[in-house]
Formats: sequence, C-alpha cells, structure tokens
Amino acid sequence: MAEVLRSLSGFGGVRHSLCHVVRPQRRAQLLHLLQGEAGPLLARGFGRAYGDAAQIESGHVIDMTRLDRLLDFDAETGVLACEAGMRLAEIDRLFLPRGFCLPVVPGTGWVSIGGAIAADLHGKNHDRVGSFGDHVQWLDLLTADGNVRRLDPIATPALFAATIGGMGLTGIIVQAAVKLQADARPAIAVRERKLTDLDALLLALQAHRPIATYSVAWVDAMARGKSLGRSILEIGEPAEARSTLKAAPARRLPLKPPEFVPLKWIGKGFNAAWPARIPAAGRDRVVSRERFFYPLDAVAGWNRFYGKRGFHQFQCVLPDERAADGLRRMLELTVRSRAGCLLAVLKTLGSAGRGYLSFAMRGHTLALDIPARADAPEVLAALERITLDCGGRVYLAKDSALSPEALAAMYPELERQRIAWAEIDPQGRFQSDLSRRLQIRETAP
Amino acid sequence: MSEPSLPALDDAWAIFGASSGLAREFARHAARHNRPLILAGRDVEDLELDGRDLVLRAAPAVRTMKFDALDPAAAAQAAGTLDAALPGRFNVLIAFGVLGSQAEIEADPALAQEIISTNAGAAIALMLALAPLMERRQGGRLVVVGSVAGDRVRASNLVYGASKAALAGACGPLRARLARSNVTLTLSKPGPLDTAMTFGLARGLPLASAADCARDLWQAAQTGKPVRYFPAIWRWIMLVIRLLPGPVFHRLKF
Repeated sequence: MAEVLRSLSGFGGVRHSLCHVVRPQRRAQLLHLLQGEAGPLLARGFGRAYGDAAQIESGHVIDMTRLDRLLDFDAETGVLACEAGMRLAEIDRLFLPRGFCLPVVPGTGWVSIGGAIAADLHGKNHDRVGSFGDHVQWLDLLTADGNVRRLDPIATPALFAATIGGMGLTGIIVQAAVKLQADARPAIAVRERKLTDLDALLLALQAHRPIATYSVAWVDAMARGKSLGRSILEIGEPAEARSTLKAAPARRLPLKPPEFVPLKWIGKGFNAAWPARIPAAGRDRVVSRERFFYPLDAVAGWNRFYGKRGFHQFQCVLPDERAADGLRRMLELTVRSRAGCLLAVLKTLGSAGRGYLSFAMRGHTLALDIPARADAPEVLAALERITLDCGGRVYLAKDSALSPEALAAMYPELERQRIAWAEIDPQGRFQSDLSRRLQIRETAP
Repeated sequence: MSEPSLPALDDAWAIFGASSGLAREFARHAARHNRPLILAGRDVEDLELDGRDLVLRAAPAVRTMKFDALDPAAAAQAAGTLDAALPGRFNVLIAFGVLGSQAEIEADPALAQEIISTNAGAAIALMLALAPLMERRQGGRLVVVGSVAGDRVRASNLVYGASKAALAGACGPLRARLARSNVTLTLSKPGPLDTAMTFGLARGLPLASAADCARDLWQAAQTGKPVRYFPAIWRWIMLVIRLLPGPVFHRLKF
C-alpha cells in the first residue's frame, strides 16, 4: 500500500506535522498495518478536529475514509453497523428516507463514525439524548497486538470506556454499531430569538432546557459593556419538510479577506448585519436538517477565513452553578484582549458521557474561535484558568493549547484511562501530537 | 452473500476489479438504481463487505466471485459463471488495472509484462470471453475503464500508457461487432482520480473524485456513449495533445 509523507494539521490549521500517511482501501490492508510498521501510529478521519488530535509528527497516520461500508441494519431496533470511515452526513442521507437518523450530530457532517466515537461528541440536543458514545452498542478495535477486539459496555466495560472519548489512543476503530433514532423527520422547525445580554440568554436557555429538542445560541463575542453576551438563540424541533428542502450545493469561501483588513472590522460588520435578518419579535421557519445542523458545511473551506496562521478553537464546559460567572469572565476577557474572537457558540449539556475522557458533564458549553495571533497563547491560558477555577473542562477534540497539569485536574478519571492503556497498549503505539503535548499517558510525578 | 432467485438478477451489473475506487462507487450507483450486482476480484473476503454495503444501499441481490486477472483460466471461468447465473441480459464493468512505477519497471523490465498482461491482456481476454454471452442475450452494456494516458503514451508513463492504448485499440472493433447485437461498449477515459492507484503520487496533480466519475460513467453507460472522458475537459486536452507533432510532444517534460 502506498505511503506518502504529508504535512497534516487540524481543521484550525495552526500546527502542522509531517506524517507518513496510508489510506487503506480494503479491510485486509488495515489489519496488516500493525504487523509491519513500528513506531507511533494513529487513525484519522476527515480531519475536523480543530487542534492536534489527529496527527502525529513522524508517525504513521491511517486515513480511514475509504473504509466506509454499511454492514448491517436492523429496522426493528434501529441498530446500524458500519465501518469507521463512514461519514455522519452520509448516514443521515441514506437513512432519512427510511425514517431513521443519527441521534447525535455535531456542527459538521464531515465527521467519521470512528472520529465521532473517539471524541464522544455532542450535539444541540445533549440534554435530551446525551453524547454520541451513549448510542454505541459495540465497536471493533484493532489493538497494538494486531488483534481485533469486540468492545461493549457489558462485557468489556473498562476498555469500552477508554475508547469512547479516548481520542483514538486505544487503537483503531474498525467498525461500530450505533442505534439510530426512529421516527426521524427531514426538517427542523426553528424559532430564532434575539437576546440583549448574557443574563437574558442564560434565562432563555434555562427556560427551554426542559422542553426544547435542540437549542444553540450564537453569541456576538465582540459586544461589550451592557451588551455583553448579546446573542441569537435558536430552538429547533423536528418537523416535516414544508416543501422540497434541497440542500444548497456547497459553495467555496469566495475569497479570503485580505490580510490588511482587520478581522475586527469584518467581525463588527458581520455581528451588525447578521442579527438584522431577524425581526425584534423573533422569527419561525422550517429548514433542512443540513441547514440547521451543518450551517458552515455550506461554505467549503470556511476555515481559511482566518488566514494562513489559522485559528485555535477553545471549547469548555462549566458546571451550571458556576456558568454565569465563568461565561461572563470569559466573554469579558476575549472582548478586552482584542483576541479577535468574532462569534461564540453556547449550548447546554445534560449529563456525563460514558468514556473516562468524555467531555460532557452537566453544564454550559462555550466555543470560541481564537485567531492564531501573538496574544493567542495568553488568551488561551487565561481561558484555561477560568475553566479550572469554575470546575469545568476543555474539549480535547478542539484543543490545541491545554497544559498537562490542567488536563489532570479537569479529567478525574484520567488514572482509570491510564490503567486501561497499560492493558491494551503497553508499548504506547497509539499516539498523537495531542497525547504528547498533554503527556496524557504519563503518570503524574 | 444472499443467494438470489434467478429472475432478480435480470439486468445485473457484473463488476470486475470491484475493490477499485471507481468500481466501488460505480457499484453504489448501480445499487441506488436497484440493480443486482456480481462483484469479482481477488480479495473476496473484502468484496463480501462491499456486498453487505450494497444490499443496504438498495441492491436487490449481490454475489461475489473470485477473479484474478493474471490467472490464464480466469476469463473463461468468469464467462461460465456469468452464463449460468445470468440467464437474462446483463451488464459488465471492467475496472481492474495496475499503474506500476515507471522507475521500478526500468530497473526490472520484466515488470512490464505483468502490467500489460493485467491491463490489456486480461481485460481483452475477458471482453472476448463475455462478448458471445452478451450477443446471445441481444443487449446489455459493456463498460471498460481505460485512461487518458492511453490516448498518447508518454515516456514517464510508458508501460501503463501502452497497456491502456492497447485496450482502447481493442475496444473499437469490438464495439462495432457488439453493436450488431444491440450491446453497447463504453470506454471510460478518466484523468487522474483520487483513488488508491494515485494515492501518494506527485502532489499538486489535480485529482478528480471517483464518486463523480462513477456518476458520470453511469449516465454515459445508460445512453451507450462510445467514449467518455472525465472530467469532460480531458477530451479537449487530449485532442490538442494528440495533434502535437511527435518531435514536439516527446520533448515535453510530463
């Protein structure tokens, strides 16, 4: 199988690493990989992790996107088995006509099943249905010894919990079974409301939390003073398509803003123009699932918007009781620091995930793009401190800046994860730039 | 795989080299159009996985069979199997092929034999073995995957180009013969596709998507187009390249 030396980065494009990349086309090519190669290796899907989770400097990266076959579907139970390279949006495309959809989807359809499990990702309905891993029935893991093991929560609870949210560091997910949601609707009825500040937003989120299926708030991260936290709250409910809702063909980002135009101006313009679509009383409309869940997929290459240096994405979850205080401090910090954050996304999460390193806990989760400029490390470090101070944690699938000390403090089950690693990958074959940066496998001194 | 009842196999597609990137996508199109499929290739275990995928994508039935292009008996055996399994009209995609590295071939010229045997020898033998079957059934589509590289052979890709040129040469007269029995022959001439064959070749080479090529080829096959370039611009690029005088062409570095 051909192997090629490639410079890989996360979706944010901040840090690049030279990796030996292979792309198996057949199952046997994947299974043989562990016999031949020595040295660190890691599976990669569509490269949507923002930071350095899916790359390994000088190691072997296995592009899983061509192992994308459906294997079994039981229309009685809704359980779908497929190979790890299968793309989430493709599953919905194929199964919506049969009345099924994925119970959990993130903000992009360009995520593989393997990546969704490794990040134990969440959607806009976490309060209702939990994380992606909560719907995984079993998975087959190719481990360092070259064997494929079937993991499930009953027979192999520890290895299962180490692999759900395990950032691909226990082995390569070959195939998995996910329980799809029945009675799926092709569209989403969305109610958009403008909220004038953070308190109003938190109140509205709280009010919708027990009743709404989907909720997400887009926060103007440049609004300061009395307008801090000014936002648009979207509440969605599954709906029948009113007419034919064709997904718009993906457009490419037409042009990168020239470097000499300050991002701040673009942001100001955007944050002024964007909410203007919505009347003061709010509005209701029916949109396709793609439009609601994957708004940015409609602009291919949007991540180049921040220019050549790329951007960090910071996402944390703060426990409910500290959320108002923590969120205010974070927004104040980014406004004051002129970090160049334009937009933030705020959602609520329901309960903890099944993995030792699962991100979710009950609380509020904030995501921010931070352009990679000189002051970015400082801003990220300050955000890390606020997160720690509030007893929250940072999302590894997006992270590019966390410190090893903070990781240990944020993820109390890290020790159990390390015990699982000692059993399943004692040599530490599975590594990533993220695992090295966070010294994730090393026991604390 | 699921053992289909015979009438269900009417208008089936038999796909040779079914693990290739283009063939896999083509099969998914056929499945979407509710066609039964026979997948032939070397790695039957893996083809079983494709079979499960295609059934879930709406193929009414899928069977797999072992086919090794370099086995001299392969063409006759495949024809026998298809003749028995498919009493009605059927269609064929011949998609196997190897690229080879010109540098390696020049170090060991014997490698040229294997590449030409696979891409041209085995493919032509299979076409000739299947032609009488399709003629007897008075219909069906034969689709052969060639390459723009066969339109004018370059020094840097001499053996592969020569093999695809030979394949294209055989398609012309065979198309004329099959047309008398209402069988169409479509020769696909894709530019470089983003598949396992080109993975790791020179960066900067624009690679077209195999899924897009398969969709285009499916349509071309339905209307019996004799030759199909993909992306379509290659038709004009190759027209210009074919018209270049030899001394000019062979001085070009590509």
